[in-house]
Amino acid sequence: MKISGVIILFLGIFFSCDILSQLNENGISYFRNDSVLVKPVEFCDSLIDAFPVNNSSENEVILKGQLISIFHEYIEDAIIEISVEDKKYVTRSADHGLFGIALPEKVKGEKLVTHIYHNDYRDLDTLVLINKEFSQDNLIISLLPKYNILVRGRVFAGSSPLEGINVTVKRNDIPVDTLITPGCFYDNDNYWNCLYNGMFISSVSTENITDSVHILLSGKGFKSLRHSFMFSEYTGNLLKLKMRYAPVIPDLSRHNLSLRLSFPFLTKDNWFIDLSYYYRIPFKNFNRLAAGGDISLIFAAHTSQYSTLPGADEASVDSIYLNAFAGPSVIFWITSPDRRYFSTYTGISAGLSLLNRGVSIQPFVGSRVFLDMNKSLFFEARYLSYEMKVKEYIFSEFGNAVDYDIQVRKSDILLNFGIQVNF
Amino acid sequence: MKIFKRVIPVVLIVASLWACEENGEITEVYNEDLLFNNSMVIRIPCYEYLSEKGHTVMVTGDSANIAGFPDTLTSTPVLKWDSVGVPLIYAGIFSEQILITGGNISNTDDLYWAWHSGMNSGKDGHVSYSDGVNVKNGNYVTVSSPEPLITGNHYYWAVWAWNKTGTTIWYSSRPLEFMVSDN
Repeated sequence: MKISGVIILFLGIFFSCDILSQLNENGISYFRNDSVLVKPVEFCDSLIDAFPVNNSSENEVILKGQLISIFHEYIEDAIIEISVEDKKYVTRSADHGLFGIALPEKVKGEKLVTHIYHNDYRDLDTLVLINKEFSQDNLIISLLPKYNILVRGRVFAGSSPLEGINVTVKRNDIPVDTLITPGCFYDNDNYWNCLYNGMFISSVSTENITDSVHILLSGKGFKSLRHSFMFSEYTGNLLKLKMRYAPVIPDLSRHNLSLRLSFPFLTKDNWFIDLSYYYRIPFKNFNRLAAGGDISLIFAAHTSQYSTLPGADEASVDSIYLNAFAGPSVIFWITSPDRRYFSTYTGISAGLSLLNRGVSIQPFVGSRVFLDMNKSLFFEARYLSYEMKVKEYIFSEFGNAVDYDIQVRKSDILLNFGIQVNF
Repeated sequence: MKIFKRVIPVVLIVASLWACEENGEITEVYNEDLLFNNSMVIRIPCYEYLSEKGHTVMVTGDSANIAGFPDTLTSTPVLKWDSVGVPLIYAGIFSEQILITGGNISNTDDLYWAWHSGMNSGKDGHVSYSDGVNVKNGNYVTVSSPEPLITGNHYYWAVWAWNKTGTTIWYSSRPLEFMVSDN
């Protein structure tokens, strides 16, 4: 079938659409009045332009065109969707914004509903009228760019960047991007690169600068965080988003290693160092019992007081004695052990003296605060009762004092603090 | 966590220092001439004192010991030495040479007269005979004034002092022999 020519007119009727006035204000007209064969119909965001149509076969016509921005930039990867009756013909703009689409011959003389989409440009809905005459000219369609921002941010917990955090970027309520913050890595030069640790970057476009951008952060063991701002508010600076820990540790390890310290201002006169290991015993849903071992060193002060010369003041000798205990220990968690803050426990250790004789029974009660997912600080009160050998002295007027050993029982309530690693 | 890596060694070092502090050990010394060989010296200088009769008595102190010529003192001598400023100090006059066994004076029965810093009179570095007491059978005779030394007899005197805890003799003088004369 010979096609003498086709003239396609785009008639855009901007019926109650802001875009019309905006375009006109910019001095850009999408209307071309030559060969207008069809009256404009009511349609939103319409564009009217000339069109060429070539015959490729007897059964179809080819519509060729080019997409450019109002700033004369070629638009690639735009979707052009043309509806013919109930069927949709879709193509994508290629290099230099060129596109071509094959349509059935019956479209000649028809008005075709056309949609053009691109992330960075405003959507265009228009009508295309296919004329019966041929033309070699391309259909030139101009699109109006959207506003675009590059949202950059870094996620922290305290002052530490966080990796593995899910980041969802939304424009109004429309998801734009879903990301996961990266950690450190060995780069091509084999350097441990932490430049992008905890960072995210996302390109967001909009037609309206009063639109909102929402950044939703979620991660295991953290409270969800939502950070919102308007397009017009974003200055381009790196967003520093601090996440808060959830009140519960998500995967509490079964093993923990603790180091305790105590100083004389927390005790009577003792220095105390303790190293302990515990294994949380799995018993159905009951997870509050842990058993392990305890090694403690105590630097205990002892004062020996005795009389000297008649009429002179008494003398005293302060000595430090080292005691060491090792033995089994159990802990019962009064509150759930996976609580992040002030998870309270009680327990008892039975320490066999390594340097003296006897057994030291050490009941204790404490509370733990997690610093991150596996490290915690704890504060503890521990009752300590043990026997130790100390020196006593008898003064001699005619030489050195005579010393002798006696066994004494010491007891103290040690306030100690420590750090714990769960693994 | 870095803070703990730095704090723990500091804590351990401070603990070690604190634990050692109270021992108060001093460098071991050896002075063969002194009464207690492992002590530091209490110097006895040359000095004079007035006897009860108003005569000036010369005491040569450590020099007499070195020269091997004992001083001649009155029966109620005045003892002087360079103070070492410790709270526990003892001065004794023995009727025989002072013997040391196992770091202690063994012939305590020969102690005739004694003064120490627990007594009310006398002071560290300057003691009159009347400031001290006689010792009989190991007991201080405090009810009466000390009996004078016996004229013509030879005596030995020395001073020794302890550390502040009273456990160890830190200072001692040379044992000085003297003869008693009323002239």
